[in-house]
Amino acid sequence: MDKSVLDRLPGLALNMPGGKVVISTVDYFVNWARKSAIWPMTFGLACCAIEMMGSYASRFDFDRFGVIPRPTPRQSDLMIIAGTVVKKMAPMIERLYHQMPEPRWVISMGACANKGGPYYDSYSVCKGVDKIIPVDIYIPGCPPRPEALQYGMLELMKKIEKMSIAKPPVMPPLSRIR
Amino acid sequence: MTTEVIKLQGADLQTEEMILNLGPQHPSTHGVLRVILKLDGEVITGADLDVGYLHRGTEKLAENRTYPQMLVISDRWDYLSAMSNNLVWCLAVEKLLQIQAPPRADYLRVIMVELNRIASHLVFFGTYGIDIGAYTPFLHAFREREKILDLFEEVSGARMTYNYIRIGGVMADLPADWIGKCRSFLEWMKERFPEYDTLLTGNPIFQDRTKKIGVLTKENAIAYGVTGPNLRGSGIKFDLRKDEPYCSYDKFQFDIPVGQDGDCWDRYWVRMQEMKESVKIVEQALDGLPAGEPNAKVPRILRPPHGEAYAQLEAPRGALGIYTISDGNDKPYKVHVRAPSFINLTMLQEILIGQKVSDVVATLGSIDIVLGEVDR
Amino acid sequence: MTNSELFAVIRTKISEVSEIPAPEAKAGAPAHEGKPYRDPYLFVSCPAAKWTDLSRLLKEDPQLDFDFLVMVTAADYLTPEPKMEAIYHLYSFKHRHKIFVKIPLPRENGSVASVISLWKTADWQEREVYDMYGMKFSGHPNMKRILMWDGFPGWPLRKDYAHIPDRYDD
Repeated sequence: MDKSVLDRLPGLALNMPGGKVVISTVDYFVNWARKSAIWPMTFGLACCAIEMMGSYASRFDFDRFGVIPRPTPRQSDLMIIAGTVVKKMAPMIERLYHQMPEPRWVISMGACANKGGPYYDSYSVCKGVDKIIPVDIYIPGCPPRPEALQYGMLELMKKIEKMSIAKPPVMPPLSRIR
Repeated sequence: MTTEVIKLQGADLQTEEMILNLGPQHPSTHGVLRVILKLDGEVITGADLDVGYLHRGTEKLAENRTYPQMLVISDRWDYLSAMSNNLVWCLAVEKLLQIQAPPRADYLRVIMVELNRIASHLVFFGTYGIDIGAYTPFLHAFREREKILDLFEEVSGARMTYNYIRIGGVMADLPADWIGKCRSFLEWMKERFPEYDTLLTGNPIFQDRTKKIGVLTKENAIAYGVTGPNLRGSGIKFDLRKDEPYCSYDKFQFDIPVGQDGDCWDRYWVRMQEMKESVKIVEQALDGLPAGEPNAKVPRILRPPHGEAYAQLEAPRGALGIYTISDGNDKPYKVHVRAPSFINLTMLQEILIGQKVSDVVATLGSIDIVLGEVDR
Repeated sequence: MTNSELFAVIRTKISEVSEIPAPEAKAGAPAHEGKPYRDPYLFVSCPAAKWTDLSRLLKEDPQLDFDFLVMVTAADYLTPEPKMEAIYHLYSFKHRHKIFVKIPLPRENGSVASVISLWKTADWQEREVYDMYGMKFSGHPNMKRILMWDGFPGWPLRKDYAHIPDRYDD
């Protein structure tokens, strides 16, 4: 299979003396590029979506972080689950997650996506989106303020800074999609 | 080639019906709504709607929550106008308890609900612009909306799920300088309406895309149970604030805008006029705000006697109603929400037939649904 | 028209409907409970077999003229005796009067005629009642679940609904 330069570089560089310095320099630039242009997929489900829209609007402008919403999962690298995850919708979320190309991240925004929220005892609510997809950042609140979402985005950027091309991300198993 | 030859060739084409899925994840479906379109070329021959992707089971949760705890859940039905949801729940429970909120609470409730109507219609204005393809009005609308949310945050502490209108009155009286800030906001808002007219209303592209599209006749409107600006856009003058006044609405002077043809343009125009009327109502309420207690005396544990109550009010989306049955406990026995967006959405199946597929988004946006209310 | 006039018009045409009296305070109720409340509209009870005739009368009679179906819902009772009720709320634009119709049904295999041919709004509302309570509406062209997915086990809003936890629950 065709491997990109970044995939082959760790194998080559780590065998040379001084290879780690090469990797860490490449890491610095690659991570800087990735964290400065995170493009989330517009995936608002419920009330948190309105606060997400508010954070894209002019007062809490998201564009200054390099964040531009993309409508399709194929061209985005972040999925902000904003709203309640209902059992009927869960297979679609899984499918959308697997349609995103790597590297990809997930922010779980709001109490409903974190652990079910105010609907913790409902028969039709999935108690937390981390039961279906791996989550990187959890943002509490009901709904979280736009500043909270932007703080979560900054924490995600700090997490991306710690990534390395020598450690590729783990692909979660594809469960049976109904 | 001559046109005759082209026409003959077109007549021999074997066409098949195509099913196009406007899936749950789509930038213009205002949430998670699935529309299954049957197309014959570009013309829609049938539309099926698949809802339930946000069904949170609140009617069952109500049987496990006390009456004040349901207020928290009620905020999240129609999250763009949470004050109306709170108010309708409080009206239903106050009917069961047979208590009356004091006059100051009535006026405060009216001010909050009307400001929320302006905020909700601003979101409609912004997102309808995005649906049609105009990205700038969204930023203007949200700038105004942020000012309203600042006012609400001073009064209730939250930007969107207020939980401010409580059973027997409101949560707390207004802070010290709130009335001055509200008045300056209303002055600012009045100057913004000509701006919106230049942005969208007078725009010939917008008018071409919304006039004569998605026509809802008067008979269909009544048959499908449509209420709110959709009903008034079709020419029927019915508004619960005038026809069945609640919360001292009969003390205010305001008009009910009514459209003529029932197309997307009329529904849009009715909402823009309603914003102006809401500004008038808030001014009159601020001028006539009575002094006194903002809360009635309500027992600490609410146990309404046996009975049932149906309360309805004019939410920004239509006639929102709550039907609740009490069996003497502190938790309701049954709650049913008559959600206007759920009932208005059925008309989409009828008005889309015969339209082109490029008008689906404009039609769907003009109904102004909120999925939290459609699925509850 | 007042409640008694409305009821008189209905009663002359269909004799099986009966008016549901306003609830009285129960005999053993505690003193603080107060007087039970019910809205001051007309509440009638109609047997399931007569619902087709009653609904057509309510819509087409010029004195009644209920052209707006506001709400269709149901209620489930286990005590004092097990039954389910279908509840309809109607409104007339011309005369501005309202009516509630309650139809008692058995809990298992209860079914009532669909009014989709008279009021198109009954389409989704009856599907929702079927989805939540398991009450079928005969004559409905598309009696399928609307809010839950098709294979969902059980009828959620029934009082004896036992939730089966799946992989999405804790």
